[in-house]
Amino acid sequence: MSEETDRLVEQLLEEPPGPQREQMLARFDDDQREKLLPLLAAGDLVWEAAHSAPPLEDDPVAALLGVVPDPNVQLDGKALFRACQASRVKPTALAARLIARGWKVDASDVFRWQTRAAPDVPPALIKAIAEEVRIDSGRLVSRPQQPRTNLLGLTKEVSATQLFRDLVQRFAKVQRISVEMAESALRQRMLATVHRGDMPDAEQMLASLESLVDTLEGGQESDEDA
Amino acid sequence: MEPQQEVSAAATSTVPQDIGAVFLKHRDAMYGVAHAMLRTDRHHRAEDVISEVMVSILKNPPGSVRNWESFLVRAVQNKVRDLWRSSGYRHEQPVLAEGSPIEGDPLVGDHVEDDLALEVIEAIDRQQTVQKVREVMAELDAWDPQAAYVLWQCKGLERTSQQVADELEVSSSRVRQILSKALTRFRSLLEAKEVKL
Repeated sequence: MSEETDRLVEQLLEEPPGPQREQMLARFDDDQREKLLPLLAAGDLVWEAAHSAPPLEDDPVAALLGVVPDPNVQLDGKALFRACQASRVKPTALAARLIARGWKVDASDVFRWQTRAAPDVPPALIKAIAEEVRIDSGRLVSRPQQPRTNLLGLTKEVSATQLFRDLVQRFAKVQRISVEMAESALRQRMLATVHRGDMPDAEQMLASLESLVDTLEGGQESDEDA
Repeated sequence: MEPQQEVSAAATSTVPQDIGAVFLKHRDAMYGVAHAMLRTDRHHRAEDVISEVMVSILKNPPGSVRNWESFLVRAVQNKVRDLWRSSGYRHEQPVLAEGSPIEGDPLVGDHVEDDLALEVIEAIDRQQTVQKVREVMAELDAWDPQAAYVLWQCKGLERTSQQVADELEVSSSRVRQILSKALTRFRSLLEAKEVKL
C-alpha cells in the first residue's frame, strides 16, 4: 500500500460508525474493504466493551431495586443466627432458597453472615433472607454505631424534608418493604444520581423521587382496580 | 408496551425470582444492549431506558418468565424502539426491517416473532462476545501496553488521536499508527478465540 493509502486507512480506523465512515470506506476497492471491515468490526467491539453497566454504586436502577449495599442498612449476624434457629432453617437450606429466588449465594456466605460483619449484603437480599426465615426485615438490620459521614450534603438536605419522609412511607407501602429499606433505596438512588454526574437541586431530586413513587403507585392502583 | 407483553408466555420455575436478583445477574447484558442500540442516538440514555424497563416491571411484575436474560434484553430492545417511535428518531442502523410490528399490531405473525427471538439471541451472543473482548484486551495489554491503551482510548472511549497524542506527548499520526497496529493484533487475537468479525 502507498503512504497515501496507509494514511487513509489510519483515518478510517479512527472514525466511529456512521455515514462519514461509510463514505471513507467507499473510497477503497473491494479487496481492501474486505480486509478493513473486520478491523472496523473489532474496533466496534472495543467500544461495546467500554460501554457496559456502570459500577454498582453508580447505578440508579440498582439503587432503586435495593441491590446496592448500604452502610446504613447492614445485616445483623446475631439476629440472623437467632432467626435461622427459631425458624429451623439451616444455612444450606437458606442458601438453596435464596438461590432459587435468583440470588448468587452459597452456604458459606450464610455462615459468614452469621458470624462476621456483612457489609456486602444489599437491602433487597436482606428482605429475601427475612422472608425465608419468617421475620420482619427490620429485625435483621443493625444500625451502624457511627452515622455515615460521607453523605453528600444535598442528599442529607433532601432526606431531612417532610416530603422525603412521606415518600419513604409511600415507597415502603407500594413496594411492601420496611420503612428502613425504603429510605435506603431512595437515598441510594439519589446518591447514584449524583455519582452519575447529574447535580439536580433538592427540589428536583424530590420531584424525581415523587414521580417515581407516583408511577409505582399508579401500577398498583390499576392492579387493584383490575 | 409492558415487558410481560414483550416476551411470549412460557413455562416457568415454581419459585418466583426476586427482581433485584435478576437485575444484578443481567444488568451487564441490559446496559450493553441499550448502549449498542443508542450508540448514534444523542437524545436517549441507556440509564434512562433501563430505569423505565425496571420501573415497568416493578409496577407489573411478570407472572412467569422462562428465561430472564431473554426477557430483559427483549424489554430493553422494545423500550428503545418505543422511544424512537414516539420521538420520530431515525437511527442509522435499523436493527429490524421497516415492517417491524408496532405495539398492538394485530398482524404480528410467526415470522416476526421468530425474527424478534433471533434478535434477542443475537444480542445475548453479542454480549458474550463482548466478554471475550475484555479477555483479549488483557492479552493485548500484556503484548504491548501502549497499543492496548491507545486502542481503548480511541475506539473504546472515542477520544480523538489528537487528544491521546497530547496526553502521550507524541504526534497524532503516531497515535493513528499505533491504533492501526493495535487493531490488527487485536483482530488476530479475537480470531484465535473464534470470535467472528
